[in-house]
Amino acid sequence: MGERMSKNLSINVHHITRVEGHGNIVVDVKNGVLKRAYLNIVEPPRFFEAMLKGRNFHEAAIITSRICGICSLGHQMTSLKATEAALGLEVSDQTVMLRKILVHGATFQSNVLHALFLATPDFLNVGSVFPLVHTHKDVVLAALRLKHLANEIGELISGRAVHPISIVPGGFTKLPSEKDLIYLRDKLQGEGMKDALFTIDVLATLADQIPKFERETEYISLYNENEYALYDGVICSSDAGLFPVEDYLNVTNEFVVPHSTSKHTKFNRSSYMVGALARFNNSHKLLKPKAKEVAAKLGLEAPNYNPYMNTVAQMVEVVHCIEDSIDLINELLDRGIKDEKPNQEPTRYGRGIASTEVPRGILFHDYTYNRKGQIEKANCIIPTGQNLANIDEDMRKLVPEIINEPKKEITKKLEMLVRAYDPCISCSVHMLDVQFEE
Amino acid sequence: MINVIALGNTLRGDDAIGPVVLQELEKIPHAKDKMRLIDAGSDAFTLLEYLNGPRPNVVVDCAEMREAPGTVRTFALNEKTLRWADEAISLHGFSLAEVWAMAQAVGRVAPTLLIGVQPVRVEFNEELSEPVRKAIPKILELIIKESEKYA
Repeated sequence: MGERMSKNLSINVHHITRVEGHGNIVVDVKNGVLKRAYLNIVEPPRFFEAMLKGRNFHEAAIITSRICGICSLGHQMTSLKATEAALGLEVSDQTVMLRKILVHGATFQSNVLHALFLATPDFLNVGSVFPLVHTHKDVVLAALRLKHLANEIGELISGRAVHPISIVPGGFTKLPSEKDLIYLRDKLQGEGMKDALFTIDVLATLADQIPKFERETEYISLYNENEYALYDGVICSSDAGLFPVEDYLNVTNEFVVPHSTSKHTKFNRSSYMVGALARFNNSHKLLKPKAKEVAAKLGLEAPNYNPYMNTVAQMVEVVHCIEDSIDLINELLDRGIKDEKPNQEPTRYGRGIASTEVPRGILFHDYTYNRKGQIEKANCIIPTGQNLANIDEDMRKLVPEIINEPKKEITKKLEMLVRAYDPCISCSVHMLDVQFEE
Repeated sequence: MINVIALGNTLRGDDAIGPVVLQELEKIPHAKDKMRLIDAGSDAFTLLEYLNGPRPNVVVDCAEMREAPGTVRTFALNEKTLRWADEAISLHGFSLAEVWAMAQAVGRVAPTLLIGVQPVRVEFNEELSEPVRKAIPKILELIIKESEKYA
């Protein structure tokens, strides 16, 4: 104990690697007392909301899809839904089902890349994915095949793998053929599921490398009583229950902290967590059967309070997304693809708020349109911004628990912690509110 | 048939040069008979897929080359040029060298020509600068010449 009291520790990991964007880890312990522990976000703020001002409703989703090269589809989908809510554009069941398959593809692609290429090197004690190519080439190839499969979903359903073109407000400008859907279903059922289960088997052998750390927090995600909510639902707080998406400002409560150019958020506690683990904790009963089996195999049980297990929850979701895509395609084939045109006749002009679960967590877009169909006001609240306060709180609990470990080990566990959240720092950085001149 | 791969973000000033070049290629009659146009955004792994693919690639991106704004340089991607290319071109989360190394470990790497354009600015919410806009005809000419090699 005496040694602990005299412990001094200073960690400053400049530009943590294997995360999207730039962030620094700062920890200071003086005489055994934790003075500072936080994730310092240093990227200059973006002004996405200002980019939307005056834009036509056809353009909003195209612009927001460029906010981030990594989360492109999630922004596009949320943007479309916000526009449709604002303009009273109803979409068909067929449109919703096709969009859900696209969201599944983007989710399993991002989850696979994060879990296997960004997080797994830590479990294997290697500095990057590159040694993995030599030691676990079969895993890398399986992950790349899954990525390719997600790209094929994008290409066949939305016209392009990156920055899709045929998903527009009100529906699709071009629909996939039944032949395309059969091809995707067969590939998901065969190679896709086989690769997902194989990578999970490998991950299961590394489970003992996941740090044993727990901190119960508030978990916020979308919730939908009919399905594991990714495309749509209401806001679910593990502390406070269900809220309409329209109440998002009362849930997110953004605030400014000196060490971050991105705003932080909080609801019923000093922080909350979003992302795969939050979704799993709130909606695990709605996972598809094989995904439930995989969760059990990987030792993931709800509620789980270990943020490092977010990576494991991501792999469980990979299996869920594949299973649900197969079911959705079968339903579409049973119904037959109808030659529908997008519904682009506004029935109203006003405010529309929408939310989607994107790989890193719950995403909100909020637009107000004028009577010309142009955006007057816009707000986006991005998952990584919502996780920042929670990462800081985790660090403040974790550091005293591991203070007697070597500095190198403490640093590694802190880096792993940040990576477990799969942060996308570049697009989370939008600190300043933009007041449009009326 | 070649792949023409645009890297970059249309919202970030001269970083949009790749996607803008693709739009220009779309307007050229029969260009698509000789090339597949791929907007890779800023996703390094999309590039990886094509590096290991069957077709030769031309990658268009803005690159910090310490040259006059709008300068266009080409180079075949290989071990010798990689160090320079890696310093000049940045992909989200992964460097070009990392993606290249991974492509080599995974399998055969297709011949890949990089076309770098010296930007003036890559900040969000900026337009393409005039010097970079003026470079477009030269870039189109280089791409067409490359596509004819493999026609």
